[in-house]
Amino acid sequence: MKNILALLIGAALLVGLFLWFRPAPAPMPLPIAAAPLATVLATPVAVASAPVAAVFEIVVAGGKLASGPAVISVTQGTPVTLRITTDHADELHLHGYDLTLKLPKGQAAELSFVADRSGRFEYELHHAHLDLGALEVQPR
Amino acid sequence: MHTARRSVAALLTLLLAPPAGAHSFGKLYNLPVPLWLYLYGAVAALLLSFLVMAWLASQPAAAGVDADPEDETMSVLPRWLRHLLQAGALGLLALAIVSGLFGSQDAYANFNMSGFWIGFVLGFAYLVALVGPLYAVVNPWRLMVGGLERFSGPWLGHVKAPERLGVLPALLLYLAFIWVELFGGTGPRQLSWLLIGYTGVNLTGAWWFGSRYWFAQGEFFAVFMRLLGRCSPLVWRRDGVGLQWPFAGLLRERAAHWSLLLFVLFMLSSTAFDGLRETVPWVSLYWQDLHTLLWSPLFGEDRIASYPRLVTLYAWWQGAALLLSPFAYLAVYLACLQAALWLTRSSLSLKTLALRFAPTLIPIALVYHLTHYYTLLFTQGAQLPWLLADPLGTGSEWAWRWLGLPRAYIPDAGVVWHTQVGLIVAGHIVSVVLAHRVALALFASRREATLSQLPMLLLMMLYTGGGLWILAQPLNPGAH
Repeated sequence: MKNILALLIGAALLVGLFLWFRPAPAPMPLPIAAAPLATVLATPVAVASAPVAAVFEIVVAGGKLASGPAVISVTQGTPVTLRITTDHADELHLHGYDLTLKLPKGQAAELSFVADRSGRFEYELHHAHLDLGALEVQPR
Repeated sequence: MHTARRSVAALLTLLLAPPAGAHSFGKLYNLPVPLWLYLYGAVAALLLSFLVMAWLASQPAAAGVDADPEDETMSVLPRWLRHLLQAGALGLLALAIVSGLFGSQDAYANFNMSGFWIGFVLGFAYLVALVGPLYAVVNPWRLMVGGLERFSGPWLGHVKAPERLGVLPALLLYLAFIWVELFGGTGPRQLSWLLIGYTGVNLTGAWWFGSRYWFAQGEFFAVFMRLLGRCSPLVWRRDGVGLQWPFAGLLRERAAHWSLLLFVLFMLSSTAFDGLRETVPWVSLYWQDLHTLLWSPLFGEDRIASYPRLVTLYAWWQGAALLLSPFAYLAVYLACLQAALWLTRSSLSLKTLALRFAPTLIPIALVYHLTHYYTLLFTQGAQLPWLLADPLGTGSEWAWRWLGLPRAYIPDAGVVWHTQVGLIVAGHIVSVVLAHRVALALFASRREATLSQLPMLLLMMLYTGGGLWILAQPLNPGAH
């Protein structure tokens, strides 16, 4: 009897606490236009799930991230476009999604995909061995 | 707050990127656990601990700890099965060495990296925690020495009473192993040489210390796997296989030497450190906080000029943090046990307590390990059949294509979060129960035993809360 009671209290605690701590689903913010993003320096940019593609401008110069976010945060299901300009020819690799993109020297190249897998995926430049940043896809 | 910290660190990496580790193999895709879930885990662990303690106090006096030494052996396995497993173990070790030496040097394409780091160090270890002391049967190095002993007679060793060392050789090897895992940046060929080197270490160790001692307390996988095997719900006796409560086997484990205590603490602290070193607070501690405090006055304000020095120092800093981490855990552990002694006014010595409670920390260590690494079994473990079909990584795994096996499976981040927090809370509760059982067997009265568990509860909350905190920290861009 005591054992059952202890089990019940334990289960009630776990469930009750969970319901209490769990945040209410966030209302969807308006999609952010792409243009001002380029000026936001290295701050994580949150974009809600929306049919509008979230565009991220990334510029690499001198073997370093010159401008653009180091962490891209989106909600699962968002269409994402990475627009990358490098001052040397290279290849971008996005882990997890296993996407690659040829980057010609000094010319913007675009990688578009739907962020349908949640998790944290790093992307790097193969030739420069540069860990450029991470795509954080929050689960729905 | 997190966002602000993250932006600061992001800005920092922009200005001066800390060197990215060469640890590009074994990428984790885990997102930091959200704050609310972290708080939930911590509060749930605390409240459940009190509930468990109240429940245990209401239980009739337990028979204490079963001190009968179990004859844990897998000799009940049929001979043919044992031989098959042993041949498999030796074959896989040989395959790992050969494929690393002669195959592709792409860590993801060669069988030996995934086979060893994912298949053996993670997958096999968790299997042992499920089914029991399987490693003692298949330990390939033990089999090699056993084979040699057939011709030379038993290797009795050249050191008098090596037992006095406890598991010190295993502890040192474990430290070296984790150092290589985190900082070694090994590729397939280096891994093969390491395995060859480790074979040499084991042959020498068994010859020098005696094979019996070496494969019980010297070879570190043997110690590591034996401790994990104690978590299994199966109990292996000469007359057959029995069932027991999961983790109850840990109550039969006696740490006879301080080195085993440190070994267990290193199981905790090495995993914690591997998680911590990729977080923003850890990286900014060195590259920002200490920069203002120490590096600027020491090396000058000019960051570009002092950067090469800072990078070298960072490597030392990281290595030192790893090697000192078990001692940090030890200090907290001893402080809490000393508090238990003061509270209970018991005449037991601190050493007795420290050794007896050591195995009760293993559930927490196991869940730390699981939460940190288990997703790799899906993301990279799923490759193992493919890699086995083409161990050298020549790209000709055609035979397997028709099976349509997935090459990788990335679990949903939400599922990962909940499993991580659930596992940590569960492991915490198991450790609380085990410690209570040990206390009942150790202290003179029930009252003393219960009192002693208050500081123990604080200890376990610190370990569990620490593990959860690390999981919830934002990760440094360009970590790994």
